[in-house]
Amino acid sequence: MPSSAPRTVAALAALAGALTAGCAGPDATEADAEAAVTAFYAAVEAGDGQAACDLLLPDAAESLEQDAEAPCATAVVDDPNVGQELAHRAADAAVTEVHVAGTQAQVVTASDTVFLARSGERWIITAAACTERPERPYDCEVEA
Amino acid sequence: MTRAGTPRRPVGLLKENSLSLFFALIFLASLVAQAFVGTAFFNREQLSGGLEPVGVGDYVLSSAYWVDITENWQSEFLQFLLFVTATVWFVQKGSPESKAIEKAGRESDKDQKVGQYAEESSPPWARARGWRLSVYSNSLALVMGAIFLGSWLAQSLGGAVAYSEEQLRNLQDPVTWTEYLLLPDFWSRTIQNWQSEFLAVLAMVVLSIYLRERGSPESKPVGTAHQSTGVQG
Repeated sequence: MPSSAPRTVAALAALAGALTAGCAGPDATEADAEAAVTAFYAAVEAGDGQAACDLLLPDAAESLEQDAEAPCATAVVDDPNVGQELAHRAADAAVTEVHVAGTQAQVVTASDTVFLARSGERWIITAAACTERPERPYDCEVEA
Repeated sequence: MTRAGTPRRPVGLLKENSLSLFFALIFLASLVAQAFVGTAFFNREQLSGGLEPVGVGDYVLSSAYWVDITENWQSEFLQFLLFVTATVWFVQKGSPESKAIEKAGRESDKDQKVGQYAEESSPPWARARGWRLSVYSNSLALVMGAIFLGSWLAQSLGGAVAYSEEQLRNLQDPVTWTEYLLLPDFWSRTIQNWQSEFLAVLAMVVLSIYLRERGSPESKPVGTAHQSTGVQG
């Protein structure tokens, strides 16, 4: 069976890759997560609230509506608190780091740390406008 | 056993290998069951977080699945590695899991049928000298040890990703593999499995002094005295 050894090695390498990346296609997965954050902040900067809200986890959008007492599409660009905070962070949204672990991801920009989750075939934002707290979860303006 | 020149019948092959086949079947059944149960467990978290569930195919490629699988593998192979090697030197009076008290140690070449004492049917490397005899004389422990280390490495790689996934779910930073090796999660997963394996071996060694399972090679014959050591049924 001359061809079984290379096949076994290839299978083990694929398994090791899947284990370390959490799932298939690490590069494409990271690029997709990065693209979701770039699209979110581009929508915020363009004042397209609906496009920004479409990229949010529904529970996070709902929480935002309750806090702002306004529809998500309005709050995400016009609210004096969250809207202003997102607009401020959108001004410098160049991505510096992307971390993917299984169905979860973290995209670090020059002005924010954004959390995402894989839902079906796409990445959706679970938390944005986040501030680091030592030894505790990030404090995020937008989160479920 | 088959007579010379007589082809083995499938039924005979099945019977001759029934122990391996039985464990291979229940191993595969457990692996499949774990895939479905694990998917259901994982999806409870996905759904409670407002996310779409994942399929079994995606789940079996996930670190969440493999860390649970490999943390158990590593402890099982460590158990057998220690059992195979510790029983060379350590003995237990009255236990069929132990050899006779006076045989503790590596034993003579004659007892082990190696080198000049090798028999016609001995494996070729048992007749060899030098490194081949050394390697073959320790081949069971070497392979068990390699599988243990490989499984433990896989557990650490999968565990780092699974732990990071949980961290991100809780809006916390992910960890690198080297950071994960120093975290309590890695050692808790590791040691909680080790303790159960060590207890199981201890129970087997001690209980088999006094208790019997008729017909099992893991037990002494039912009527054998409690004091008899190194006797298998």
